[in-house]
Amino acid sequence: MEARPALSFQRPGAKQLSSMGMSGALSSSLPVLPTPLEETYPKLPDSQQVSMERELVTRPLNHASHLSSNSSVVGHMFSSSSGFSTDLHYSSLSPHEKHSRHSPFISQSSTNVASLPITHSSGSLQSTASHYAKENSASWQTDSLSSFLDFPVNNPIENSQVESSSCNAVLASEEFTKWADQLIADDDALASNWNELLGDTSVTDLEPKMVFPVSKSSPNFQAHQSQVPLQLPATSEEIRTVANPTSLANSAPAKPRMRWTPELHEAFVEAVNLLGGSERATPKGVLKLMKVEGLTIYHVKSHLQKYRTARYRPESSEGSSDKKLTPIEEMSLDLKTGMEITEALRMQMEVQKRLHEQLEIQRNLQLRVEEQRRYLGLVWTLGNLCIGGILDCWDLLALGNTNLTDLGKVAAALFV
Amino acid sequence: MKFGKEFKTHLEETLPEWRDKFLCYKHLKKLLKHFPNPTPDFNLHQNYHHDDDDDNNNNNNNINSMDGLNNHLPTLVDLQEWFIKILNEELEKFNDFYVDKEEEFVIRFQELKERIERLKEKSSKGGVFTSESEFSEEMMEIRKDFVTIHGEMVLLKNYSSLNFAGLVKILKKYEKRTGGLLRLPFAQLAVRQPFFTTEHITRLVHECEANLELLFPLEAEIIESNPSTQDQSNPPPCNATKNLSETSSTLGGETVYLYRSTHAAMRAIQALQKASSTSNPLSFSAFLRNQDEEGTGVVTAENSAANSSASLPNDEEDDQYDSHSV
Repeated sequence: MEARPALSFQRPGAKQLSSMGMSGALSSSLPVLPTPLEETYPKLPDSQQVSMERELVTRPLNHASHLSSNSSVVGHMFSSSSGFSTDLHYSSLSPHEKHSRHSPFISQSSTNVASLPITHSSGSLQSTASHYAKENSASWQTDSLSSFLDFPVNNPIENSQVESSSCNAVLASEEFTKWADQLIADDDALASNWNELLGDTSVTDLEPKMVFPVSKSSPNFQAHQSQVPLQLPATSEEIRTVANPTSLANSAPAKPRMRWTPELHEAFVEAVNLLGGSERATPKGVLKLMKVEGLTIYHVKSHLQKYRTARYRPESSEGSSDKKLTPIEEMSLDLKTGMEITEALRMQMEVQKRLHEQLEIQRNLQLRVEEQRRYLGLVWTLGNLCIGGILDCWDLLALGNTNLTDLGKVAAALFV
Repeated sequence: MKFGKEFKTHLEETLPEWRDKFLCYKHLKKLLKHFPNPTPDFNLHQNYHHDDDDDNNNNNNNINSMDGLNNHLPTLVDLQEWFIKILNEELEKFNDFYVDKEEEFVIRFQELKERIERLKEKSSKGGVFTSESEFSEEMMEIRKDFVTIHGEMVLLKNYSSLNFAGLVKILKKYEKRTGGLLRLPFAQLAVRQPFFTTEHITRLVHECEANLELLFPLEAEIIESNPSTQDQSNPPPCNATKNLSETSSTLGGETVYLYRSTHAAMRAIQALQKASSTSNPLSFSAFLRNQDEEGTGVVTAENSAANSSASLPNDEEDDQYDSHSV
């Protein structure tokens, strides 16, 4: 097993790195979870999928976590690191997402954006998977520290009592290198520095429209930690198929989730009016006129239907009021009750407005709580990585035959 | 416990057709009760078995070791996977409903705006007398519809927020029960779901409020004639009670539901903001307490400029609502 190549953050370098078999994240200790989850979320953009898989790695450690005294800390760290990795993908997406706001068809642009990291991460995952398949026999316990460079199989359930912290370190650094890959793969503007990632990830800025389809249970359900090899090929196949951006949008099992914004609706209404009104317009005609990429006739059809029902009521009520002729007395009576009604409406509005304010506060709190948790997870993971990196350096030194280059590479990995 | 009760109460009083679109909080809680409560022994037992299996089957006979494991109780991992599946279905439910409603609101709102335009055109052309009463009638209709759509949109936001809160609670319970770490990743996922990205609806709500400002020209007169309604603190508890019944009788039919649901939502939120039974530095109540102490820049009901009557302290409002049974 050759020494780990330099994390030189050039694209070819990254590919090479991943081809070395960054199998840590997809370790043999992956429990049942991966495959069913893959089935569950097969059509998620790859970045999500990658992060889900990383997340899955952390699950085995849940079992480990019960056993040692600091276990809860360990477990939590891992959960956080998964959240961390998930978020990194989104942080790398966020500038793109900001652009996407301007497009009326939001789900489409987020799909396109999400496809950007896909090719690279899928590339790395594929090679990872294949490399990993050769390695599954290695037991984590013996290999862990000394063969760190070999990215040993993780079998935390076995060694849960021991070295949970080193397991920690290994996995965390696996995460880190994967993350580093991701950074390389993404747009340079996005991947510049940690500060950007840390400061810039604002949850409310991110609007990927994740289709979260319901899964049928996977045939590999019985697979446990040692059966990952069977799962992995499926993984890489899965990724291969979703790597194509257009297939991503079309392959979601649930119907594509289209969000009608006011702007999009305005375009729709214009098209309908051009075609002679809601009754005369056909979905096909409207679709053609609107010329919005990614809009399907199915979307237009259902929207047109809703539009027609919405128009029917107001038109009928307007028609009836036209025919009414009210004498003066009735008019003054109307005014009086009009006042009452207006007052009642005003009261109702007050209550509704108050509710809305409270809701805004509550929602902001909810977001803040999640944000803080995510941040805590981040901090943990970073601390983790530093410890992990230091441990790695020590290991290399302990091996005795380390050259400075290797040591430097590991150290460099810590300080992007 | 408390959340469950609040949630249930809210469900009973909210719009009827929305009731089954909420999170199945009670059922999920019950489900969790049946999950095995892992003790250290339980896990150790499993682990040692794994050790044995793996020692014996070195390389690729993973399937065999698998079968061995299958003879044990369903593992935590199996249950977790199943639980996640259920939660995903819930998310789908939320998303479907939310996006559907959002689309409906966009259509209706745009319709209302068009109606105003048409009315303006008609009134500028038509004669004074007949068109005046028609005008005012139509105007009243439009006002009513605006208020209704505003109310429904706000309730949709409430739907989003309440479901999210319920989801987080369930995740916490899951963690407590099984030790599986689901809360952070799943919550992160939920935050990004369509049902929780409510920015569009918020925009519509604000636009609605702006429109209504214009549509209520009489408001100024009414304010002048009834200065007492604008005063804060203690009179409102009585007035609000009276106004509820008055308003609902005046406005009739479907608005009664809306009004009731709105109040139910208010109550639910306030209940959430009260201190929970488990102390948690990340809970709402802790946040709110901190805000009161530190005076951060967060907009609270207290310092919001939009509504003078919103300056009621939460406790008072809560008492008021508790005493009033809808």
